[in-house]
Amino acid sequence: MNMDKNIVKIEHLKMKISTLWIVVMFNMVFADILTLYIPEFLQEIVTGATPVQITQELMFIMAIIIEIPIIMIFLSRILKPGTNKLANITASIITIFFVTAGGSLIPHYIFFATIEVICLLLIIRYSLNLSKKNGGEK
Amino acid sequence: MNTFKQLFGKEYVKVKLSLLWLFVMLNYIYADILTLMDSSVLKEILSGVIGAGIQVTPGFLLAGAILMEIPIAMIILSLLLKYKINRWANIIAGIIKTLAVFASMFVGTPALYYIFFGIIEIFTTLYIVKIAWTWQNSGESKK
Repeated sequence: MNMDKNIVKIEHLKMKISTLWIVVMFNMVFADILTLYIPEFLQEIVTGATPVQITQELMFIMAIIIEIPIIMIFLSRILKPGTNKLANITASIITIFFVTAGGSLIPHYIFFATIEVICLLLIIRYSLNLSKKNGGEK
Repeated sequence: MNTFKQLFGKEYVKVKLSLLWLFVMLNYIYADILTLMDSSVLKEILSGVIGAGIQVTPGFLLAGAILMEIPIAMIILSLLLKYKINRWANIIAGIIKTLAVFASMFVGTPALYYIFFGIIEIFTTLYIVKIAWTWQNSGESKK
C-alpha cells in the first residue's frame, strides 16, 4: 500500500518542475497574444513591414525553439532522474536565451519575460535535486 | 485508493486547485485567440481603439499582463505555498478574476463565444473560492 518514500518525493519534484514549464508556457503565449493587440504591430504584420521580416524560415525556426518548453511539460514527468535533470537544465538555458535575446522591449513583454526567467531558474534549482539515487529504480 | 491520492495524500487539494487554474487559463487564452479571429474586433485593433473607446497603449497592455499573471502564477503557487497563505491566495485571486471577467463582459457588446467562455471562467473561479474557503488544514507534512 505505502509507496516508497523516495519515489513519492521524486514524483512531487517532477510534478513541480512540469508545472513550472506550464507556467513558463502560459507566460510565453500571453506575451505573444498581447503583442497581437498592439495596433502598430498588427498593421506592420498585415502590410509585411515588420522591422525583422517574418519569413516562413524564421517562423519554422521559432516553432522548433518553442517546441522545447512545450515538450518539457511532458518529458519532465516521464524521464528517469538522471536524463530528466540534464534535459531540464539544457532546455532552461536555451529558453532563457530565447526569451531574453529574442524578445522585445515593450513593457508587457519585459514583465512576462522576467517571470519566465525566474521560473526557468527555479526549474534549474529543482532539477539539481533529481539524482539517480533518488528513485532512479522503480 | 487511487494513485492520485496515494501520491499526494493530504496535499491533493493543492493539486486540484492547480488543475482548476490550468483549466481556467485555457479558457482565458481561447477567448483571447478567438477575439483575434473576430473580424470586427480585428478591425478595431487595427484602428487603435477597441470596445467603447479603449485606447490600446503599452500601459493598458501591461495592466492586462499583470491581471493575467495572477491565474498563471496560481497554477504553481497552489502547489508550492503552505496551507494558510495558499488558502488566502486562492480566495483573493479567485475573487479578483471573477470580478475582472464579470466586468469585461460589459465592455462594448460581448460576442456569444466570449459570453460562453466568460460563464465557464466565472463558475471555475467561484468553485476555486469555494474549495479554498472550505479547505481544512489536515496537518500538512513538514518539508
